[in-house]
This record gives sequence, structure tokens and C-alpha cells, in this order.
Amino acid sequence: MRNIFRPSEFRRPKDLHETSWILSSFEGRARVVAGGTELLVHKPLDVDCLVGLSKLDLDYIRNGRAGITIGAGTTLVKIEESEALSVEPYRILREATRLLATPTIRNTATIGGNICNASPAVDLPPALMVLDAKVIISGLEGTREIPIADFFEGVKKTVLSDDEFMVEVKIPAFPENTGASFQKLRHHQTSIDIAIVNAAARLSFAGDTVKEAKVAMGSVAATPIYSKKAEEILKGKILDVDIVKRAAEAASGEAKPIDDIRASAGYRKRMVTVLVERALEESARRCGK
Amino acid sequence: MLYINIKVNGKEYELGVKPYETLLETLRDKLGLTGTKLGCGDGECGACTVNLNGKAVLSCLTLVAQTDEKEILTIEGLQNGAELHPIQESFVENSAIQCGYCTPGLVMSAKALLEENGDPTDENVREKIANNLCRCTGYEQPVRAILEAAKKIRGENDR
Amino acid sequence: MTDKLSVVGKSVTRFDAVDKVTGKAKYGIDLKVEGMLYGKILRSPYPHARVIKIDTRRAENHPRVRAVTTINDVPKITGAIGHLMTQEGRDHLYLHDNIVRFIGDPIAAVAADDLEAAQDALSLIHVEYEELPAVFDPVEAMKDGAPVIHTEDNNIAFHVLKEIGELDQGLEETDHVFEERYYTSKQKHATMEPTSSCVADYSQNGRLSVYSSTQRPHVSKLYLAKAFDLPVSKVRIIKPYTGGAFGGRDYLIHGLEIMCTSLSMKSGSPVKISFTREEDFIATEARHPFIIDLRFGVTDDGILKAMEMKCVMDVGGYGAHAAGVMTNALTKGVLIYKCPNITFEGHSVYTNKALCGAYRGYGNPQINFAIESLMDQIAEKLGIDAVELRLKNYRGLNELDPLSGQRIESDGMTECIEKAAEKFDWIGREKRKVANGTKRTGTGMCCLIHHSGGRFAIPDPAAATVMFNSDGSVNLVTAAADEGQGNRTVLAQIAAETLGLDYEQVSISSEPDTDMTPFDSGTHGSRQTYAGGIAVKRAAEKAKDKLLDLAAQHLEARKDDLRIGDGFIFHVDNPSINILVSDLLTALQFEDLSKGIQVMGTSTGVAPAVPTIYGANFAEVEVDMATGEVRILKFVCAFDVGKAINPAHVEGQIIGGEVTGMGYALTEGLITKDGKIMNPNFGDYRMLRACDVPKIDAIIVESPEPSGPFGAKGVGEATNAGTAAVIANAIYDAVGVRIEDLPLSQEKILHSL
Repeated sequence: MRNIFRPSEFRRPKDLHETSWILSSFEGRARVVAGGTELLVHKPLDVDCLVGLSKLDLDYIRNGRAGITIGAGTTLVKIEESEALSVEPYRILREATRLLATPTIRNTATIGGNICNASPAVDLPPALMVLDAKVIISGLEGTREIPIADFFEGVKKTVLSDDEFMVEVKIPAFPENTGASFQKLRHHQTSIDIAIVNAAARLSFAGDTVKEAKVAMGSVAATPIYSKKAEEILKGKILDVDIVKRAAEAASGEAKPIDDIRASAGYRKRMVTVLVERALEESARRCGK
Repeated sequence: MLYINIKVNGKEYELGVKPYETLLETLRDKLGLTGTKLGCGDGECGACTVNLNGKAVLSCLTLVAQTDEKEILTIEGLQNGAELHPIQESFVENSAIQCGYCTPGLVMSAKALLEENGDPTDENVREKIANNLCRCTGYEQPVRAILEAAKKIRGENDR
Repeated sequence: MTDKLSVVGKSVTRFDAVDKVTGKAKYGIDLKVEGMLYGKILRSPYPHARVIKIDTRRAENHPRVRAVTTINDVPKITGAIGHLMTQEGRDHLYLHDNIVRFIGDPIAAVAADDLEAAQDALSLIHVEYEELPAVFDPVEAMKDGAPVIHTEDNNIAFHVLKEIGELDQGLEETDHVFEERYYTSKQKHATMEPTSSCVADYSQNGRLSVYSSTQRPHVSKLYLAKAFDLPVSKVRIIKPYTGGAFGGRDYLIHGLEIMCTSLSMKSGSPVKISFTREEDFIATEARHPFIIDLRFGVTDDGILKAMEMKCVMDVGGYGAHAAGVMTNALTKGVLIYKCPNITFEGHSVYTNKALCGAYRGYGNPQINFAIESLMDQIAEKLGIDAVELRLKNYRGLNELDPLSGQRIESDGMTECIEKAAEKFDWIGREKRKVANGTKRTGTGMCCLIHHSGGRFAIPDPAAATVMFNSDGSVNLVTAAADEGQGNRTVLAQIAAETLGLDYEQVSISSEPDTDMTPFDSGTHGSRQTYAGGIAVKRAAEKAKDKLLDLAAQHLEARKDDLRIGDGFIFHVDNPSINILVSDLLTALQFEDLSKGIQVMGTSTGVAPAVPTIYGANFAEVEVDMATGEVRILKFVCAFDVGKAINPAHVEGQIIGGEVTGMGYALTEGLITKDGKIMNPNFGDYRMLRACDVPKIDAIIVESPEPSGPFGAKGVGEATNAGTAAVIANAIYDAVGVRIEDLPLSQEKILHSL
């Protein structure tokens, strides 16, 4: 076993099928590389082949009647500057992106990379989760579509099999009176820092009543998770300070963070309450509530 | 070994590269362009910042194989003969250099920034150089230098 | 006098700016020497172990490996610097015996044709260890029965007890006694060029040439000569451009130059070793963590009557600065306030953690954080303004320094405090206080002292040579190492001013070379502008004196009547009696065949004093009571530097130092678990970035030091000494919690609320 990152091949397939064929032929020892900003930091030892996707044209943001589709190879800088993503509730993607790493990294890092590296602390998945995003996965058998929350299986683990890779993220259209918010806590809010915890929320109102609520959080479990309890508390209610607080506390109750060098589990749990509360207040404010 | 064509500082190269070779390694070890610095190799310090098709990127986190058919500008390509680029001139004039190790990366971040936004605010500059760690200056003088450089460049454009 | 200065006091462009801004400057990491091999070091995975056996055969058989060396092959060398130059000491073992004392301690090294082969070969070396019990906590390490890390019978690397006056009596005479315990963190230099990169070349003429980014070329030369049993004359150190040092390149780098030299001797080729960033984090020096117990006695009106300071310092596995840093904490702690009864006790203790060493401030950021936090508490309790309390107590002009017996000759403390307070609007601080949602603002201040040079503590000579060329231009030759501070530019300014020349007429090379320069103790302790400046000024005065002597002969005039100006030497009363300096020099050197004289002056010796540098910091912060996050809103500081030879450089030193201080206060610090550093990268070791820091107002105060060149003292090491305290004090003012444990993390703050 090599003790050093030294893949022997670099391939640039021309279409989806060829990509899957290469990936499958290396039986798990091939790795897709997009921006490279994650791969070259971790330099995994179990890689024989790097597969670059630049010829697949996965770099796009499309705005349609059914919502928004974003190619997996879209750089983060395009997301943060995207007109299509400047409106409620999509704009939380721009906001989450602006809080992610640095402008220099965002010039090359991609949305697919951010999702597929499946770190518990990544920023875009919670935002995408409250936007009910689905990811499109391509493999030898064709493509499949799954909700983003189901994409993650554990720390650095996804549902992708050896031949599969992500090609697109799909976000549905939302009714008016929908507001969302993304909150991220870093060490004294220093730039580049990954989240101690992050949280996203989306509220869709019918009149003054919450018709639909989504709350997601990151860095509190092996994968980003929804707070189902918070959603239940909010649904069908007219928001007030007390309900927001109860929902935030419920989310904190569902968080199962760990102690690590960046923060203690106890601090993270307390911060989930603060961030979810802020995310809900901001979501409501954004629909004029 | 795979073969790529890249343009570095206006000069075209056909190079045989390793699959895992970073752009930083190519620049420093193959092309002898040691002005681009290795500070961490993890993309966190920004000493290796170059411009790739006009955008600031971290050459330590860029596989050179992925730069095929692309244009790279490094600190060595910024001058016009003996004449310093206005950003370089401004760094010199504003005492923005101490040990100088982060300087090439900072200048290349500034170059990409000013291409995009000729009239940045102090805050814009600080955000766009967030990836460039500097342990000597505390950033004040480099930020001042970049703002002054923007003025210089705007002045030239007026003429 | 000062109004006549034409080069000193001007922010001239540093001589190396263009090289650096164009990428032409070659740093250690950029060096390539013909026939050079690449080395890598194998490091211990255990915090404490005995090395039983090292099997290097497989590595030696690697086709591209040219040499392998191990701790059994390299020389052992003991002794800290002061001892090295004079007597044997026990403070430091440069390269070990068969014991490894921290995770990352070097065990072996290989040299190969390329870096990949060197890396591969490391995994072919088989080491058999016997693990030994390890101790990580310095307090535990002091106890009887703790595992002993060095060959002495306990882990105390250094102990000092200094008693001035009668502490007990002082405490009895006071109205209030304040007691607190403080903890400081292990800050890393994190120079942008990893602390390493050396090329050792023993391939030619029986001489050892080492390209090393050291702060102290001549001291490194002494060490290597001693280690390899070579005459000092056979060792040459050349210092390339260096990407920052801040104390981290004081002496040799642990294992680096010695392993590299051993590989060059074995292979017969030049060998280069560069550390990765991770190696820099785990195996090079850092700031010593302190545990500080303070007990201060004050009167009702705020006069300090007793100060007790007890420090335990965590040295790590090796202690190059076990004595120095503790002693410096002592001098700063004892000298800042004119208290009649002071007791300072310090224990520097070995542990099985990564080694610590010299780092900007050198014990001062630790002791200042404690003292200035407690002074803030005293001010609040007694209802005395924080500024007022400092002004009442600090040790200023004409006070006796009870440690050196010297009188204090310059004092800018009052001016520092008053100017900074005014700029900060200290008076208006209460009116500015904001409570907005969960956010609260608050303000704080602190003051500090530091010193220039180590004149009374270590052998600290400085030297320079000034050589006139026949065209009237001058070469300045000195071993002053410039890691970015700009000291070589400043020294050229001092030479130009002394000689009445333009700055452009004085040339200084970028790379000190011990073959070319007389012994200089190097760059440390904020000494180069002061001590180095004195040497340059003396050398320039000698050269000038000689020039005037020769001019007097040539012009048949009295030397005292001659002046230098505008390129001429002329008679002060009769300017028509004159000669172009270049004509005279050309005549002396080349035209008069009986002479052949090059006019030059050399100075060696020590500076007469260690002048006090004064400083004051003021900060305004915003604290989020819901999360504990802190944002610095406003920062004003003032430093008394005697005379700013180059004001832009001084400003750069101050702001740069304060920003590393802000990191020390808020986010930095190595985290060690069972001896292993858990955050050896810039992602988890959080240094502040451009958008994380506020605009800093740096005020330069000039209270001239009579012994300094044009009144100058140092500045660099003072600049981060008070940052942690001022931020801690501002946080207290904002939310009423006092965190006595660095860094002031948001989690600690929230927990205390």
C-alpha cells in the first residue's frame, strides 16, 4: 500500500458514459476531480486514477419554470454572482457560498465538490436541504435522482457507487411568501474557517400561518440533518417568539454533535439553538413577517 | 506522463506532466518560476496564488493537467520589461513588503481583483485577499498599496 | 541637530523591495545548487521513547538514495548560546542521544536524487523503540516521581528567584491584595516560508558551506564548527532571503542543519532539506505556554507596594531558551512598575511536547497579559481610571533599573499613553458604549515595556564595516540578518546619514555571509536598529574620520576645518579650498602609486545599554452575548521608539506585531493531545486574515535614547506584548467576564457569561 498520494493516471472523459466506464474500471480507486481544492488538501492514498470532468460541460445555472438546475461542475464564484439565485428563497445559496472558504478558493471549487466531499461541516448541503434540492447522479445504468439529504451516508461517505458521479443539483420552484436564511458560526467569524455549526431554515406562509417549514443543520452529526421536530412545531402556527424558541430548542435536542478540537459538543448544541432561532427569524422577516 | 499545452506569462509550453503534479510544482520545478511560493500546500496561505485565465487561483490546489489549453500569469509575467506593473510599483512605494514571501501571491490576488473591479473599497480589497496570509505586515500597508494601485491604474485609463 | 537629518527619519524604499515584488528574490526554499540532493527527515511517532535499533539497509539500497544518517551518526552538542561562547551549559541538546522526547523529534534522514525518492526511502527505515512513560503537564512534570526527560534528576530546565525589597512587608503595608492565576497558549511563529530550508555543502575544499535562513549567521557558524569539530574558519553560513522569522530562526533549527550537514558529509554532495508546513508546526519552536500566579498589593490610592509573580513555563522536549525566555519575563515583569517589593520566581520545565523557543516578545506577551489584566482589575476595584493607574506606577525617566543598575535614560510612556488615549477618545468611551440585541461593546487599555538587545544577559556584540569606493559610493558590510523587518535598509540609512551621503550611495547586499562579515550576534531582541545601528555609525564615523585625515593632508588644511557635503570635502571658512570626494578617493586608491589606500572603517563591540521601549494599546470590541464571538472595532496604539529611522518600517512593525498579538489573544494556539499536535495546518490553526482585523492606528513616539544611533531604540518585539491584555480588558468592559486563559475563545467567553 502506498503511503503517499501518487495516482498513476489522469483522464478527461468526453461524455457521461465514458466517465462512468472509467470510474467503474478502477473499482473504487478512481476519483473525480473538479476544482481540486478538496482532493489536493486531503491527498487520498487509495487513488490510482484522477478523472477530470472539464469536457462534460457541467458548469451552468439554468432557471426554468420548475425551478433551478445547477451543473455539478459550477464554480462557487458563479453561484455567488448568479442573477437567477438572487431572489428569495434561492439567495441563501449565494449567501452560504459567500461564507464558504475564500474568494480565491471559490474561483475553482465547485458545488459538486462541496457536496460530494461529504464533510459533516460543509455549508451548501444544509442550505440545499431546506430548498428541497435533489441531486442527479450518473452511472453505467443511466441517471438517478435523489433528495440531497439522502445523498450522505456518513462522514466522507455518500450513496455513490464506484461507477457513479454527480452531474446536477435541482431545486424546485417555491410559492410566494417563502423566505429562507442560512447562518454559520465560525471562530470569532474569521474568514476561511469551516463551520463550528451551521443552520438553514425555510418558511412558506399562507397568510400568517406557516404552511411549510424546513430546518437543517450541519456539523452536528455525521451528516447534515433536518430537524423534523422543529418543523412539526412550526407547521400550521402563527409565528411568535415563543414558537421560534421552542423550534430552535427542538433542533438543538436533535443535534448530536461531538467534541473535537474546534468546539465542544455542549457549545455546539447551545449554538444550534442560537443559529436556528436566527435563521427562523430571518426567514420570517424575509417574507415580511 | 501526460502531455499538455499551457501558456505561461505569454509563452507557450508543451509539457509532459504527472497526473498528480500541481501547477505550483510545474511552475517552480519545471519552469524555474520560483517567484510563486510554497507556503502550506493546503490552499490556506495563498503564497502560491497565480492568475488562471484572469482569475486568482491557488496553484498548489490546481492539478496542472487541468490547466491544459489555459493561460497562466505569474508574478514574473507582470512586469513590462524593466518597468514594474502599477501594483508592484505601489507595493514598493507604500512599504507593503516586509519579508516578501507572501508578496507575489498578494500581488496576483490584487491583479485579478483590479481586473474585475477598478475601484474597490477597503472592504472589497480585504475580502479578496482573504486567502493571502501575511505574518509580517498586519495587512494595513498591503491594503493601502492595492487601493493606491487602483488609483494609478484608473489614472492611466483616463489618459 | 535633528532638523538637519536628511536620510534618517525618511521612509526610504527598502533596498530589496523590487527583488521581492518581482519574484526575483531567492529564498532558502528556492535555492538550487549544482549537484544538489534532496533530504527528508524521519521523525519519532512517540512522545518519549528509547531508540533500540535503527535499520537503514533497505533505504540505503533504494536506487536513488545517496546517503542515510541517523542519530547514531550525527554529533551531539549541548549548550545554550551564552554558554557556547564562554562555557559549557546543559540547557539544550541539539541533536539527541538515543532518546526521543517529543512527537516529531528527528531520528534519521535520507538524501536522494529527488524528493519523491527521499520520501519513499523514509518508509524503508525500520526503527525499534522502547516506549517510555511520558509527561505532558509542566506542573505534573515538576513533581517527584515524574518521568525524567533529560539526564538530570528532575525536569527543571531552569529556576530563578529574584527578590527585591521585602514582599511580605510590602503586602502588609498595602490596603488591598489581588490574586489571580493566568494561563497562556502555545503560539506558533507560522512564518510564511516554513521555518526550514537549508543547503549544506561539504563537497569542496574541506569547508562546510551552509545556506541557512538563520537570524544569527555567526552563532550558527559557531555551533556547526563545534558540532562537527571543524575550525570555526572552515564553516561558512550564507543567509538567503528569509520569509519571516520572529525568533523561530534563532540558533539552528532543531535537527535541520546538523542532519543536513551529516548527509552532505556522507554523500559528498550538497544536500537540501526543506520542511513541510506540517513539519514546521510539529517540530520547530513555538511560544512557551506559561502558568502565572500573581499577587499584588496596592494602597487605596492605587500605588503598588508589593508584586509577587510565580511562573511555570512549559519548555517542551528541548530548551534552547529555557533560561532566556524566563529571564526576559522576569525583567519585563520587574521593570514595568516601580514597586519597591517584588518577588519573581520562575520554573522552566521539560515536558514531552514539541519544543518551544524564542518568539517575538520572548516571555513578555505572557507576563504582560497577566500583569495588565490584573492592573485592570485593580483599577476597577479601586475606582481609579485605568490610564491613571498606569501613569501613577510605571517606572520612567531617571528611575533606577534594579536589575542592571542602569538609570533609565529615555521615557516615552506618558506620551504613548496620552497620545493614544486622545486618538482613541478614551474620555468619550462610556458614551460610545452600545447594547444592540445580543451585542455589547466595551473598551480597554494596557501598557507595556520592552528592551533593545541583550547587552547584560548574553554576549551580544555587533559589528559593521563601511568601505568607500573610488567614486564616493559606499559598501556597508554587516551580518545583520533581515528577515523582513527592514533592518539592513535602516542600517544603510544610518551609514548614509553619518557620512553625509544620499541613501542611494550606500549599498548593502541582501545576503549576510560569515566569510565577508565580522562577528555579529545577529537579529534578536529588537537589537539591530539600536546595537547594529551603533556599530554602523561607529564604523561610518571611523571611515569618515580617516577620509578627513587624508583630505586634510591633501588640501593642506586642518582636519577640524573640513566638512563633507554635496560630494565635496571643503574648508568651512573658505569653500574654494575643496576637492570632490570621488577625486580624492580615486587619487588615494589608484592614482597615487605610492598609496593604494581604500578608505574604510570597522567597528566591533557592544552597545552601551539596553534602552527601554514603551508602548500603550487601546481597543474597542463588540461581544455577542449569544455566541461569545468577539470583533475588534477599533485599535489605537503608540510606541516610543526613540527615533524612527524609517517611519514606514516602524509603522509596519507595529501593525504587523499587533495583528499577531490579536491572533494570540483570540484564535491562535497549538492544541496538543497526548503529545500530539492536533492542528498542524492553517485551517485549524487560525491566523487572522485581512478581513478579520480592524484598521489599526499606529502612533510613533520619539523620546530619544542618548546612546542610540540618532536617538533610536528598537521596536519589533514590543509590538505584540500587550495585545492580549488590551483585548481581554475590553471584553471585560463589554460583558463583565474576565478570561484568564488564552486564547480568549468564544466558547470560553460564552461559558463564563
